Amino acid sequence: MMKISSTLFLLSILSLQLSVFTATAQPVPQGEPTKIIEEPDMVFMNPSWSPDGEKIAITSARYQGLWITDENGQNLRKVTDEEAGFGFSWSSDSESILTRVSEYQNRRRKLAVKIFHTDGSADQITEYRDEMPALPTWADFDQQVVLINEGEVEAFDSQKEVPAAMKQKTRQPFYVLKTDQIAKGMVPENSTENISPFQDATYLNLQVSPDGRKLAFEVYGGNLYVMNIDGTGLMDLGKANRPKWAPDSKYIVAMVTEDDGHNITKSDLYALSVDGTNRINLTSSTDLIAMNPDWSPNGQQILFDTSQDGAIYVLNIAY
Amino acid sequence: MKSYLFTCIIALLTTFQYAQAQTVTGLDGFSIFLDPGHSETENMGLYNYSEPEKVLRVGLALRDMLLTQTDIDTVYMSRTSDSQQVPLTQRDDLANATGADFYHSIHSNAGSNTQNNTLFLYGGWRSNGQTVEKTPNGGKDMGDIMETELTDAMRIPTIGNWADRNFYQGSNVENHSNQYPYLFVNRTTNMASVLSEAGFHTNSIQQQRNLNADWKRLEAQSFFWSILEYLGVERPPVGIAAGYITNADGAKTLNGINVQVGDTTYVTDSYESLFHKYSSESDELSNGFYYLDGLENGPTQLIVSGEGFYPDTLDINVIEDDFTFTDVALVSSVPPFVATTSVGEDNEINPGEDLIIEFSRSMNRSSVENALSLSPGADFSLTWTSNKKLIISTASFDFESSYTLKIDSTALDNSSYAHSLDGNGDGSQGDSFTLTFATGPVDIIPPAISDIRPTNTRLNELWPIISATFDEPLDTTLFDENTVDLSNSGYSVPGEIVYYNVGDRSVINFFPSERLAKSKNYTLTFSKSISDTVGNSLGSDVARTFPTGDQDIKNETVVDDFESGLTGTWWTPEQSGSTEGYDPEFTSVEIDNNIVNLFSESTGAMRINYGWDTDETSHLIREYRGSKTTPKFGTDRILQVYVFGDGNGNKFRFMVRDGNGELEGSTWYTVDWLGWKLVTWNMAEDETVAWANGNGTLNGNLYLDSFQLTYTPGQPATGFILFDDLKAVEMGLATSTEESPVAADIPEEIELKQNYPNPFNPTTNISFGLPQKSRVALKVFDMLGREVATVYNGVKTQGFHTVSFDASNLSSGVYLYRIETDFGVISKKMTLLK
Repeated sequence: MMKISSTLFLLSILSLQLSVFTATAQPVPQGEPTKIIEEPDMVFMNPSWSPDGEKIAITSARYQGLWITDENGQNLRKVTDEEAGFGFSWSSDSESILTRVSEYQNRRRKLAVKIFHTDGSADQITEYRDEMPALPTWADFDQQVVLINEGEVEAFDSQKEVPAAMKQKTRQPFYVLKTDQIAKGMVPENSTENISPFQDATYLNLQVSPDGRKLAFEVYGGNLYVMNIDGTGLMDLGKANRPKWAPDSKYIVAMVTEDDGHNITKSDLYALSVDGTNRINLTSSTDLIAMNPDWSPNGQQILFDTSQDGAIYVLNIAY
Repeated sequence: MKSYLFTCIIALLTTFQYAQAQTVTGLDGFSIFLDPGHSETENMGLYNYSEPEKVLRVGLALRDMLLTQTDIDTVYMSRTSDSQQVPLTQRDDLANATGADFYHSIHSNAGSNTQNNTLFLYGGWRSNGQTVEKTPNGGKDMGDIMETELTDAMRIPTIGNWADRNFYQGSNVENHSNQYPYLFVNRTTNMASVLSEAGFHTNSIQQQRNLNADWKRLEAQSFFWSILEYLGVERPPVGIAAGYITNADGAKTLNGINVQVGDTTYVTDSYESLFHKYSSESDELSNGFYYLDGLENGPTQLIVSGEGFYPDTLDINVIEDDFTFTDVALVSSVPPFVATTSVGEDNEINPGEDLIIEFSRSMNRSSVENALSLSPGADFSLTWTSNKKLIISTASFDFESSYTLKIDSTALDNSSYAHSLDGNGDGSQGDSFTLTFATGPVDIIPPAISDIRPTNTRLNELWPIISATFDEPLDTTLFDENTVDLSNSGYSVPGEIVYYNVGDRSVINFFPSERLAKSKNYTLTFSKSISDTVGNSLGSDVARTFPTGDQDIKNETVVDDFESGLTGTWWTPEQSGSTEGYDPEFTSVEIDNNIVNLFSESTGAMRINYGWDTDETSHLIREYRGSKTTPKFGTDRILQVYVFGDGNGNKFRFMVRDGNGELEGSTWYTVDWLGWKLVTWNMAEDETVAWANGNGTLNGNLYLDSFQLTYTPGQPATGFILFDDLKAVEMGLATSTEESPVAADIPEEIELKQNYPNPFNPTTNISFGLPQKSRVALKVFDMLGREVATVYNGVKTQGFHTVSFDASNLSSGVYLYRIETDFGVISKKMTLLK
């Protein structure tokens, strides 16, 4: 019963949004998904488009290694064998991938931040540490890398230059997950502001919208949400995981899974409108256990993986 | 509401401050992610206690040991409360984000009530004939250590530490087609990982232990030691005495027993202290488990006492580097009495029925036999099925007479105290037991035949199971080729008779060995010689005529023929959260290798034993097919399964999941038949019923979700049902070429063909043809005429048959093989060349 007040609050936001939104074209899957990347004895997963839409980055089971292909899945080349495939992110110039790597010594994992470049070179940003319970994030137009360490911001020079198109823009905030917070931060102040919608929750898979105005995230043990970057306008999108934004910032693609505690028994990809009005199953016509989607920068394709055959699939999208 | 909902979650990532001085160093720089498997009360175990409830407490106890006793950096947990619902993907996302060094997924297993063992699964598969462990390595090493420690702690068998894909998809392969871990937690964690299965929550003995809070500490303690060993750290000293207290007579574990070492005491669980939460019956549950922690090391005394038992004191030595296990069997101080007899409330027994006497405790057999007398006298024999249970034969008793059975007080129990009988059950030994009963009249009533199938309506199948039910057991020694006759225009269809006793009733099933001709009239006759066990026969033949149809199976998709067992697919009934209103004591699922569908030469059928809690208002057993989403089939198919019914009038139905993920079912089928019957759901024509998220409409491709059973009020609350050869079929017009037997396939007279191959080493095939059903003896002789082997001895139907002969035990040479039938004898030679 205590939920009523917050529900009313959400409904009022929703009605406000509906009054100003113009009709948005609805994404519709076109035909069956097709395999785009497949190698014998390899299981690929977690595909991610480069921001320019010309490359695809993938990893393999256990998030081991990184590979890059052209936008059509051809010209597969390995970037690294390291355990680098969890939580990586492209630079805005599509030339670099920021990630955390690790190696074992005496049963203990040593973790470091690295940037891998598409030309095959790499920069190690931090030393290998005993503990690194956070993932690195690009900041300040990719010139900086920030990492949360014991609740504080550590910033590092990424050795990347500000893209020309960004030089005239105002300073850009970054968004990170702390132990129980969604935080908005700035460099060089290295300060953060708590913009969490809930107290005492743990958050996962934070994604900033392409227009920079919204955040999508999961609550651990809970649902998928979007909100404005100032922490207002919270919208509950229901059960869904691993969100990725559509380029128009009006839709999110995420997976809705069922598991038996040992394995995923069913998973479909859903296009979720950020106003909460649309929930479209994109993979209802396939028997594939479709996971880990990523929306192409031109909005026309969605990549995903399936552990059934270890291939990367592409699903065409029309509006 | 929101803040309340998430209050528990903050604990997940907290690095706990140590509440007491740490005694163990060497874990600095190490962090572990503990994952108590599943959520809420999923995977319900026996006694309404679920796997997630148990493993959460093991995980919390392990976390506390690591944090309070060592200098470990961080312990992360995937769940810290019973109310959290956490999907697999979030568990692994959280673990991967933390950068923890090791992932331990804590589970317990499910299966039949008889299974109980430990199992460990690390990420691994077969590549080029070798088992490969996932990188980062470490899961295998940890699993090896845990296998020893947990198995020793639980004192149950283990089935080992396995690469997960080898366990689920076989290890005897060169290469697995998927070269990556099978389990999600191994496949998508980027650290070393292992999943442990600590016994079965579907095993009644294990689950009664699982209910005990300290049992979970025992499991956690073994994991704690395993982690220390994995890191090369010596374990700190402990003083833990643990074990089971049982009744020396029968080994039942005892409730409410005091166990004491020095000043430390423990009272085993009792109905009042614990079991009332899980059972309404005060004597249903017990575990006899004690766990005394914090003891001083060295020699001491374990003192055990409880009401109704002689106290016992044992010398033990509490060791510092492991559990000190001591099991104690207490001797009851209650003298023996007669607990039950098979004489009912009518005080009557029929001559021929067993008179069963059950004592309260183990008896000295000879003292009982010497103390037993019957008046008036009659011949009887005594059979002990255990030291508690005595069976007295009554075959020689007179009908309609009165008898008195007496067991004198000189009957003694088997204990070292040798208590004498408490015949009147007043708690004091030394008095005799007397039972007066009457015998019933002689049985002159023939067996009643009913539920003859097929009925006289047109058949939809050309492979019908012939069936008739009888109201009492039959004398099977009188069965012959005429017991059941199925004929068309004078041609008797060959087939095989099977007979089953179910409770007080019985059933004859006849499986034709060839397809019936389409659109014909068949006559079915049950012989007048069919008799009950005391010789009362039907007296006259019971005949029925039925017409066949013209439809046969054109296409079929086998969903499950149950030849590969149930493991890894079908859940136990209690595992499904939808199962309710059932009695766990009588509910289980297993493969039955004896009652099978003969049409498919089946070797196994799925048997569900059920028991209903008649005090409940809702009753459902969901026999769930686990994560199997294949094979898929269309809505135009007919779902069919061979069902062996117990005739109890309870119900079952099919449940499928359609292309929208919605659950849709057939209507309920009332199981009012005994024996085998083909049950079909024509999904295109028959009604569809919504269940759970369903809407009553079948959309897209389907797969089988479950069989469901429910109770019919007023019907028997316990029983069983078997399923075999579950298929989705498409029917069509039967082809004429498959109609009646081809004349050439039935010889006019007996034929014996030349064996093939010949010469042979060491096996060969021998074919023969029979003009009619016949007894057959196929024997092998050496050239001196000595019989060296009997290849076959039994009854065969008309037509040709082939049997295999293995001559491994014979030396090279020429042999004679000879067939003896009702129609003559033929011999041929064959050559064994080794």
